[in-house]
Amino acid sequence: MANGLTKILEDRLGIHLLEYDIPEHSNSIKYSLGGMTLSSFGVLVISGILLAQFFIPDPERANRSLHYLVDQVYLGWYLRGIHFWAGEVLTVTMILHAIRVFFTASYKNPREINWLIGIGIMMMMITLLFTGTVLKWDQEAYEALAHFLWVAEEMGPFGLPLTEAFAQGVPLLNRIYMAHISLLPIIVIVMIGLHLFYIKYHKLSQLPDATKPAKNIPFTQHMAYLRRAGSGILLLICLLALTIAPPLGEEPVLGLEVTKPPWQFVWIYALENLWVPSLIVAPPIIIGFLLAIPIVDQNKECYWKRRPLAITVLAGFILIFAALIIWGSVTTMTHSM
Amino acid sequence: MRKYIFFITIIFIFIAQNAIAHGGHKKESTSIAEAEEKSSIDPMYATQEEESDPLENSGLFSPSDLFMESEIVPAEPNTKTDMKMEGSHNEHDDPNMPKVVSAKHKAVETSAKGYGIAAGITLFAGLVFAGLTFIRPGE
Repeated sequence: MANGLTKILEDRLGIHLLEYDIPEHSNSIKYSLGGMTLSSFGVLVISGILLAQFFIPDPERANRSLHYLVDQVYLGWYLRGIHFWAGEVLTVTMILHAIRVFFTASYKNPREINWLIGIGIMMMMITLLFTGTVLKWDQEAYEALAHFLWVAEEMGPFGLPLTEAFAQGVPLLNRIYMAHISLLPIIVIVMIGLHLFYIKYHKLSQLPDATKPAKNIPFTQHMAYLRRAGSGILLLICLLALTIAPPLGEEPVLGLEVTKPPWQFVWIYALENLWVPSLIVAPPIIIGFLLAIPIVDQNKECYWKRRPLAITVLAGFILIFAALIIWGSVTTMTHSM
Repeated sequence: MRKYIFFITIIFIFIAQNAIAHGGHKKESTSIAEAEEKSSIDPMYATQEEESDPLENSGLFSPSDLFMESEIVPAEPNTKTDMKMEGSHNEHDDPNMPKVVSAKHKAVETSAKGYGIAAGITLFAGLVFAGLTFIRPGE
């Protein structure tokens, strides 16, 4: 009976199409980091839909609605914690995924386009992180937006669509909320779809040090592995939400700069402390560098020991970012903007 | 198993980094941001001094948008005052100015609404993960 029902569902849903072969090493943590990131994104979407039921995207009431959610709504604090920690875990797994792809040279021919799509997804995720930070509308949010608007104004006509002058009379917070809950997620979902399509199209990359073709497993077996990895990610997020409440300040006082950005942005805070225009210059340089990687690196070698220059660049990149994050965390602002 | 331990270690290293990042907050939160006499080295908006706060023309940042009547705080300092960065090189006492305490991570209190249910949900997530890890259906 159960088998018959399963067969009927498989026939109707076309599940047998998922039985295609993929390399066995896909069932490992380092080759499942993208799937873990996707799990976190799923948690973010679901918790975000629930959060949206309680959030008021109005400058006067946004911060209060969050305080009400956290203090008065049953499980509201837990819901917000899950959303916050899902974003943190997503950031970590996404960065590790990008490092793994670089380390195993999986961005090389014929997968260059998928690297570019992946960088695009990363940029969108960072933008989502930023807009999410602004939405809570406390001092940290105000200062983040103040910096962003300063950059937008410095960009002149190119930055105009990002300022309130573009749609006068409409509070910027409303537009940021719209971007956070609809525009950016739609773009990300489309890009993730493309990312997955090209993984399927080009197949998962072989192990860089493989001397013979890898043993294959059916994709459904990888899905079972990802299900377990995803449940581990969910458990981690739940544990963090249960024990550590994310920061939420009171409504902002204008003109002050007293907070530091979330750790994902602390590196640029440190750079700004060294040289203020780096707020404008650093992001495009870094994005350009990441996008140029598959174009510049035409070496066919994939094994890390035979790619000393690439690995040195990767190590330097990680070290510089780690140093900037640590320095930005312990230093105080001393510049004039 | 070693792979899992390694992975969880990596995750917590990042989280520890997060704690370090907010450690900066912690340090700052003990001190209080205050306004003081205008100076040419205003940390954040010095280059905007002639134009004042770049957000001032935004309805979003109007004090009346942000606060109730009784809570309105001076969004734009008068011509002789300006805001200074807390915790750095410009600290003075002015009891008339608003005080801001940086938000930071806090431990969740067990008295939070629905804490028991939240613990139950977390426990359930743990059981699902444990079950999938031991039985490994489909793998």
